[in-house]
Amino acid sequence: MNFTKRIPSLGQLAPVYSIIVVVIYAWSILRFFWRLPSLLYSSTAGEIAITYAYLTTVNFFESITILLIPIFLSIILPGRWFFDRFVTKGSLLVSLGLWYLAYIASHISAEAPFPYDLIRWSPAVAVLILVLVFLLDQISFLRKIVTELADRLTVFLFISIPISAVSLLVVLIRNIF
Amino acid sequence: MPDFNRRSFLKLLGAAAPAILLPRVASWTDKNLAQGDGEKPNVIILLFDAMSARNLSLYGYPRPTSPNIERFAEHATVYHSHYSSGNYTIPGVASLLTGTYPWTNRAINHSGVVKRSMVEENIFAAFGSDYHRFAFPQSVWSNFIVSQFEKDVDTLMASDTYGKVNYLLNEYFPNDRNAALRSLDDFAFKMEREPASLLFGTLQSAFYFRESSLLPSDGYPRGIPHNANYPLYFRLEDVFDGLSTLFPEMKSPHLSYVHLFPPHAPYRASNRFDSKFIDGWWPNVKPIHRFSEGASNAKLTSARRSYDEYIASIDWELGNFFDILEKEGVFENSYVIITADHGEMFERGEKAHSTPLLYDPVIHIPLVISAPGQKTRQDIYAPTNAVDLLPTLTGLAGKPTPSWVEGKPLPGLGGVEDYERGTFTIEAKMNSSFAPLTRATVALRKGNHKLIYYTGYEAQDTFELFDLESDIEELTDLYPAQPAVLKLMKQELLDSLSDANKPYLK
Repeated sequence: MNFTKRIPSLGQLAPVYSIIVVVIYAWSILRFFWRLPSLLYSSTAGEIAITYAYLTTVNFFESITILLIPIFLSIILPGRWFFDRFVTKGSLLVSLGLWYLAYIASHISAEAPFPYDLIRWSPAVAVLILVLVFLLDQISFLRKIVTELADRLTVFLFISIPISAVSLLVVLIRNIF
Repeated sequence: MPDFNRRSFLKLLGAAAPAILLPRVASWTDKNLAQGDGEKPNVIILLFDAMSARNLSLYGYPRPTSPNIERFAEHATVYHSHYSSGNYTIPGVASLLTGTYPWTNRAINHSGVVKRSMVEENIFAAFGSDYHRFAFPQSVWSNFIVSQFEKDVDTLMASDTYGKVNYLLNEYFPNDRNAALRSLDDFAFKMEREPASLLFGTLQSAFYFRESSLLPSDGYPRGIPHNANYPLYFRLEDVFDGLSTLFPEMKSPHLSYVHLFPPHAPYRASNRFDSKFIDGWWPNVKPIHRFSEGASNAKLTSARRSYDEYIASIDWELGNFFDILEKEGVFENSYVIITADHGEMFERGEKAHSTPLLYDPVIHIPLVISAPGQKTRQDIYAPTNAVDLLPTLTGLAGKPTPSWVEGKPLPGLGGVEDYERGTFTIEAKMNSSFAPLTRATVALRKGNHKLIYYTGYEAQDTFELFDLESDIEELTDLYPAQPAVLKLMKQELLDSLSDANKPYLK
């Protein structure tokens, strides 16, 4: 079996990655803007930028980590199951997975017990998501919408990748020198 | 004629002993101040987060919360009217470490830091490199300030040293610790709400809560102590056991700043003291303040009891700790300072600290200083402030007083008792640190009086005035009566605030 043949191309990865980027980065940016008023009270513009650089660097590594999941599935599963429709299935997979992750995260609070039930349900939810991915992929108009949307979201990569690169550089320079 | 026998003579001698010894204490203190023996003394600051002097039996609290601190005080100088410069950690610590008030050093916000131009104006820099400068900010908030001064600290021990669960991230960025602390531990991965980092933050929370839930809590009926906002669990005995091996081995001379998190909430007394103070004692009930959260007296009393039990638990560990230090001879060549960054309040509808209120429970903090070889107790009653520690300690170490400090040497340790001197406590977290203070509470402590000024909270600014000698519970507001002392105090407070705001006026 030649696994390398089932590694998606950059053209296939970009749409899937763009969905990840939009969710991961937007989640953090939203919270960054919530935090911004108090940051403005005590931090200089440079310090706020550095905080954002650290946050974006974390986002970058998170997004790459999540991208590895559909790549992994593409490699280990038969081509007809995943690789052949990588963009659609990958997009559905990361969309549903990130939705559940955000659902868990939104229930984390210092005032309430940690939502362990949601974590315990994760394996079952993962299986459910995989089943949904395969089922939804059978619906042609949905397939079209997902692929179209994922393609359009690739424009955000033109913003996120340069910003992430600069942020990573800032963090590295500040920690090495 | 009264019967004067041997027992009477011995009683008389005992009563006369302080009078006989006092000049010797003074001359012995002067000798140490003059560095007669040529050796530089070590300086150990043991700071307890949120420890109120009003809850220590050392200062007359009815519950026996601090018998070991009292034992320590028997060979120390006890400051009875010592005040913090802020009512929560950031301004309290910043003022202690810089010798300046919050409105000068501008560490006035939650997660705030000292003004960047003042970063080199700190106690570690003042002591210089001939001292080994050590810091252990177990309180993560304290680390916001300490890590700013990292360049001047020879050994900065991680906050979760001696901890049971270690998830703080700033230690992995030793070259950029302050930025990593503020960006990662205080934001992206902060535990108190849905994390800003969706994947890693959620995973960290899951692992952290799981690991902490599995921690054995034997010895702590309510669970082991921890920091509610940052991933840090610890056992009191581990912390003090660790510190007791640290100081005897520390390279001399050293300046050691140890900021311990207890007795900050959550209040987790050990089983030795849990429920020990269900004693039927009720503090004075005070009217609810309009700026308070409106907590019921029952809630406040219950919280106060838990707090007292937690303090007693800490004091118990301190007893063993002091015994070890004594055995190792640490007291012979060290100034050992027990103090706090701010107090804690359980009255007037308010629990804890970091509110607009500056009543004594939240700003009257302990200060007990044992000098090298000190064998007898000294008591100082004149008001002092946390900003006074830096100029005092630099003087004791034979260093010049830095020009930037606003404090004065403490009486009994290089300074004199001055009842005419005013000191300040400032609460201003709702202001930008880059702009004038327009919404703040300022307390001026002078002589027997305390004037509190509330500005920016309501349409009209208000004052409260208390005579702490005759009204230690601050029940009678003298302001409406406009006593003679008010005019000068009011002028001093408003002038000082105006001066502090001047550099930020456009």
